[in-house]
Amino acid sequence: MAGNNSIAPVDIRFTVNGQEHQASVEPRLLLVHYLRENLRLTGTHVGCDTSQCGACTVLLNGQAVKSCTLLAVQANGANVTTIEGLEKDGQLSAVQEGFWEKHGLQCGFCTPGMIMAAEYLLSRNPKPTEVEIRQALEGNLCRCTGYVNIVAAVQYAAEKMGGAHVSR
Amino acid sequence: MPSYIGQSIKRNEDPRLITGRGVFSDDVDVPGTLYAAFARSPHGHARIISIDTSAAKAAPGVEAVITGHDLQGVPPIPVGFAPPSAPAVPPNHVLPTQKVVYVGQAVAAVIARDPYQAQDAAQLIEVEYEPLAAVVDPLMALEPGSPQIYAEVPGNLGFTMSSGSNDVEAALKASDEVITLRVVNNRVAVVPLENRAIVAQYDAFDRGLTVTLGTQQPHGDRSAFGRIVGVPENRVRLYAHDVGGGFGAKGNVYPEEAVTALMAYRLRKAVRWSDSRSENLRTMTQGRAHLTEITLGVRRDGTFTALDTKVVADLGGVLAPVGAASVGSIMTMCCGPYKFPVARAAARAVYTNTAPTGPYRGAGRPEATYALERAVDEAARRLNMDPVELRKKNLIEPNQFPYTTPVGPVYDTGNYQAALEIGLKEVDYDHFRAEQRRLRAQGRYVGIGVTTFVEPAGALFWEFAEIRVDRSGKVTVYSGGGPTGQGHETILAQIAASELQVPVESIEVVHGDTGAVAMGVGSFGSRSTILGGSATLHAAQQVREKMRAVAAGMLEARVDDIQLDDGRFHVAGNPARGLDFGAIAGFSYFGVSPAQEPGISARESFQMNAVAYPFGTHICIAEVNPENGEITIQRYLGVDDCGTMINPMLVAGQLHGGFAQGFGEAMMEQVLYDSDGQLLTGSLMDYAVPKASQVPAIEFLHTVTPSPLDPLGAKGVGEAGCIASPPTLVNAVLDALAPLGVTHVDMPLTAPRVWAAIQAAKGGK
Repeated sequence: MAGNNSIAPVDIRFTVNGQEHQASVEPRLLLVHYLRENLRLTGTHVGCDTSQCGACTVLLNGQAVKSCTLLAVQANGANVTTIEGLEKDGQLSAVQEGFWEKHGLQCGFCTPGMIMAAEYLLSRNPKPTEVEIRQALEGNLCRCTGYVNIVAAVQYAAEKMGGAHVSR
Repeated sequence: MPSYIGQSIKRNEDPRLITGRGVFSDDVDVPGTLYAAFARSPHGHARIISIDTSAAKAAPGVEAVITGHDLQGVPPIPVGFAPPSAPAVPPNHVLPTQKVVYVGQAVAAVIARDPYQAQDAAQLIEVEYEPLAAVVDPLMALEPGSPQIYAEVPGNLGFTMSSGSNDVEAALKASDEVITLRVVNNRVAVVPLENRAIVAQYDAFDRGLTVTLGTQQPHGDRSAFGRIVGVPENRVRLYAHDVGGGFGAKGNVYPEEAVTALMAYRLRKAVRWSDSRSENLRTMTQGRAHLTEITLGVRRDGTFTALDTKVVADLGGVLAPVGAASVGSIMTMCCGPYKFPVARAAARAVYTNTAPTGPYRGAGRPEATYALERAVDEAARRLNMDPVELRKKNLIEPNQFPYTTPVGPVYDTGNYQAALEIGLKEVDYDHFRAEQRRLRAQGRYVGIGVTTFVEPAGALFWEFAEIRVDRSGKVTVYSGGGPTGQGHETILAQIAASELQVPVESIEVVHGDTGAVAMGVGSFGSRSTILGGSATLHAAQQVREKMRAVAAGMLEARVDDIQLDDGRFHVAGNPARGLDFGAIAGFSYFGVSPAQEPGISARESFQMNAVAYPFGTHICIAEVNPENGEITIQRYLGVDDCGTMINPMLVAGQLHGGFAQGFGEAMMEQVLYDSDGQLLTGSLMDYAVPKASQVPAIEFLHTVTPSPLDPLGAKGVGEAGCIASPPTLVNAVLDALAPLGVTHVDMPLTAPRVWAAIQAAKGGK
């Protein structure tokens, strides 16, 4: 995405899904637009403009962040993981597998952000209760599933990753 | 090989969606794409005096700026259905030149090389308006002296509809009790997680237009783009790849989409547009927005005698292409699952200075069910009768089907009592009532809501499916549907695979490509499995018979002696003398005689000569904190009957999602405008979409009463979850608050509203 000529571009360098990227970007360019348009990593979605929906969630240095609320320049020097970076050697992550097994998605638009938020939750809390899962996903909206099977998908992943199965 | 019908298999569409490889419209990259952005009305109602685009035209990166004046001769957005009672249907201009009728209405567009530049330039468009008095309340809009939005629509009365018979009046007079209730089906925003998105591209190869759009109706939208842009329809190709939810609001072409396509064609370029959520909340069609006065007559013993339903429906500023659908549905579904000797319904549909309304999941069925179920509970209170007993007394009996209601519909099959009994047993209703008495004695406010409901499914038109077997023997289903997350790629594959005895994962399902799929209607009204699934089944049966015939020739056997097992056609009793799909299909293309049709394919459309009626029971147990009005859902159970279930896991998903939307409507969602027509809920900070922490855990059970109307016995399930949930939740809360004398509260049941209702009831004592 080209920059507006009136503002001087800023040089940034960061790692996305293990690959280093260098770019000169307009200061106002949002990280999500850089990922989607410049890198064509279109799995990260934009569902709102006020940081409510979480469809744009990525991991920044291991933490779940909303990439629509960060400027690309703020990611300078950081390590970013998007939904495209979860699969390792053709193997789905446990969370991805859980969403497939448990029918944790319908239209699939919130799914990448939801999966990234769940990855972050399980990295901090490998044995979340149902209440903890629901609270951890508060920043991610889904209009299709009623969250029932999203909770089940995260529970599946927790169990698969070695956390004991959780009760309500 | 066992059938896949009834198997909860994992979805074929998921691998791409969980890895970030889905293809939503905004993900499509066309080199050299331009970007559209819009200047929008800041007024609810205003005359356009002038539009100055000079600064925008001079802004960096801008390729074109257009207003309605540049669109002379471009037809308005086509209206799919306008009732004959409409005095006129004011045109829904692609870009208006005279006046704006709701906040956010697009008045001019910028096409620029970069989306940021496009938005910058759109800000530079200077529109001079003469603000006019706005009217946002549909009842006020009907009052004499209210602002008139259209000269050709006197009193803002867009159209009227009615059903049933005026015998209702005499029957009500003869009733022991007459219950009249005024209820609000609050205006809600649809909020598919994916906003609208379109990429339109001039196609030099065939001098046409290629459009990629998130839509529920690919073929219908292709026709609309052809008409609006002025391209012969045979040169318009429309793709709908992954669509991020629709819920009724992605079933028609929007003005911004029309502008994007027009400009792509005029500039001979590709143009992209997607709306921000705040644009979407201002301009995407919204749902419900009905005020209902319902009058129910009943004998002292609880027998219903008559039903009169009067609706005022808010159309918003323009009649959306299917803006009349929800009103029509109330005319036919007002009686619900009950026996009424007489009934009638009437609606007045009114223009207001708000966003246009359209079908939203359920489209009239939730509105009708809400009014009726509230009235039934009110009748029970009035008669001092248990609300479940009152329902049992009036439910249509299993031996009365097909059942013709006094407003017209013929219900196909049902066993409403069975679904109700299962639900009551599961929650142990009698025990709950005892427990409720005990808790009330302790000062706790716990209540139960029980809803019985019925809904129409698969009502309109047909759906199309074609199956082709390619030379390698692989099977492809071409579907006319327009899925938005329901799982058609899995459901249709299950149906075809079962019939053809091939692995379900080997079947490819193509949809959302008007170049590949010969025709189609789309996905709405809980129709896709019933109609699209049945068309797929019939096409698969044809393909099987054609392959049998080719196999018979190849094996030099009689057709009657050929049987299909595990994907091989063989001579009965001699499995070794058989051929697989690849051998038969390959031969069919180049081995057949001139008299035979080459290749293996079959086309089918399926339409019912009647409507299927899914049904069920929902039960909610809720506790209210009288100190602050907060509601805790203790249990929510649904018993659903959608006939044959092709994939029970996907059925459950539909019910879960539908429930959450009904829950949102009942508990927290509401679009609000101020009296000038300014939108107060213009972002997701102000408009409350339910979160994971707010939606309660829910359970669903099933009964299965197959429909005789389609070969699968399916009845449709897409909308069931949101139909019964609002009245169930509200009736549970009102039951909880009965000791305080609260008999009415309007949705959404936010804590302040419930608290205010409690205070009002206390003050009234």
